[in-house]
Amino acid sequence: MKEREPNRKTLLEAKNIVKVFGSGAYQVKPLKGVNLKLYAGELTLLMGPSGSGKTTLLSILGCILSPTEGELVVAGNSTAGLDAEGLAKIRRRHVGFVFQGYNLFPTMTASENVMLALDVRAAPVVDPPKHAVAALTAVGLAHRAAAFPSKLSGGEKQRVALARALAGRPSVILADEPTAALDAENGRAVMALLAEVAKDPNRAVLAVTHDHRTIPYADRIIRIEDGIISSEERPQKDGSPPAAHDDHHHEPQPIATPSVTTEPATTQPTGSDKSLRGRFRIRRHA
Amino acid sequence: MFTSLQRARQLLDAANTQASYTLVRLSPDANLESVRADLTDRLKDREILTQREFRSRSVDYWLFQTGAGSALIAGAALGMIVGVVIVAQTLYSSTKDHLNEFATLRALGASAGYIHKVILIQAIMSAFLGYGIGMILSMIIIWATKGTTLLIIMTPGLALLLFALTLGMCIIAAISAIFKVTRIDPAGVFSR
Repeated sequence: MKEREPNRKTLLEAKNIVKVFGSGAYQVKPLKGVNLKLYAGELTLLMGPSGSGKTTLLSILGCILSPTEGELVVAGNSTAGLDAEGLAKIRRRHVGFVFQGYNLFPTMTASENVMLALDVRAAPVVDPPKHAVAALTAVGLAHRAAAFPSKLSGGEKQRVALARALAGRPSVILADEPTAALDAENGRAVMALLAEVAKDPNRAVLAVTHDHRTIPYADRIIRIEDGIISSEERPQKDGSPPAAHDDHHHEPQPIATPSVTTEPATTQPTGSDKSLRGRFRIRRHA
Repeated sequence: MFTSLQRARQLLDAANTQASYTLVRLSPDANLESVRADLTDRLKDREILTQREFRSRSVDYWLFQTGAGSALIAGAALGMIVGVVIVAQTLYSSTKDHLNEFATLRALGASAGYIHKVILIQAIMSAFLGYGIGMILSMIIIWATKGTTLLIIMTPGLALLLFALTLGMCIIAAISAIFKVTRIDPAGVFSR
């Protein structure tokens, strides 16, 4: 089912994306004509079974791979005909990544990891430490700025990765299985942050996930199967999952289906939820 | 061999009228060029060399016309090749061990130039470290040869030349690591 386009700025548009690897008998076609838009102010989930083309699509949307056919437009910039350096330029200007395995540099502190995203930019940034602290503050980790990744919990590492993605002020944030390596509580905290980050009217967030516990945080869910988009839908915002088909016929875990509001916290958060204190409240549904 | 005239004549069984080299020491107020012109006029079948010319001729002779010089040059060249290979292997292994980090940098949008700069900085740091250790060892050896007949001299110019060579070796050694990094697929950062 195809949804009606919202009246929002399109920050990323994939037009009839086809990707072919190999040739002849060894040819593989993970993407067979994908059309997709990411809108400003939205958290979109890309879901689908293993081998459906999610990671290949994410690589193309993140300007890491070039499509065999089709066109990608990121923040108004077409990537058609760009070489590896041209794609890298689009990435550092407009795309932020959050990886499943965090991909933090173990010999750098949280703050230095965030500053790295600023350092790779061609244009020098004034006062990078200040930017890094601001990004860490946004994810509630300013107090851990001097900590090395080995001293951070999984949830904290992923929040540092999110701060790194935010530091460059990208138009689009792409998250690859952001909760896969996290326990339920940290997974909730990270998804709540992604949902909060996505509220920026100049930013779109796409998270590739298998984790059905992330559904309540989504503004939109795109499902991909066998290299094509099989459905797009908007879940109800009351915390219940969308009335759509389920790839693996899993029901969302009740303990991990919070609703996020921007009301000040009324209860004392625990664990990694502390970073969210005063900014939004997490309600657990029994 | 450098010895007294009398001893040389004894060893070579040479007559008092024979000599390979004759050292002329000028008084402080003498004009080198006029003395040299005067000697050239008087000794038509002899070469009259200044101290600098004689030194240069000796260096050329020992370095390029004797087996000792060839062995020395071959040893230095071999040392440079081995040095380049060792640094190249070290940088290559270090790069290979950190491919995921380099792929992450690429995914974050780092340009090829940025990645190459990272590797070159590592190479330059290796050069400084290696040169520092090498110079400390050299100074110990130079100190140990002081007062011996086999005195080793390290001039500032030679020290500078050695640093330039070390730096050049390390930068050349970085090429293999740069080639390795150039082939990184940043898509590998997903779903690890």
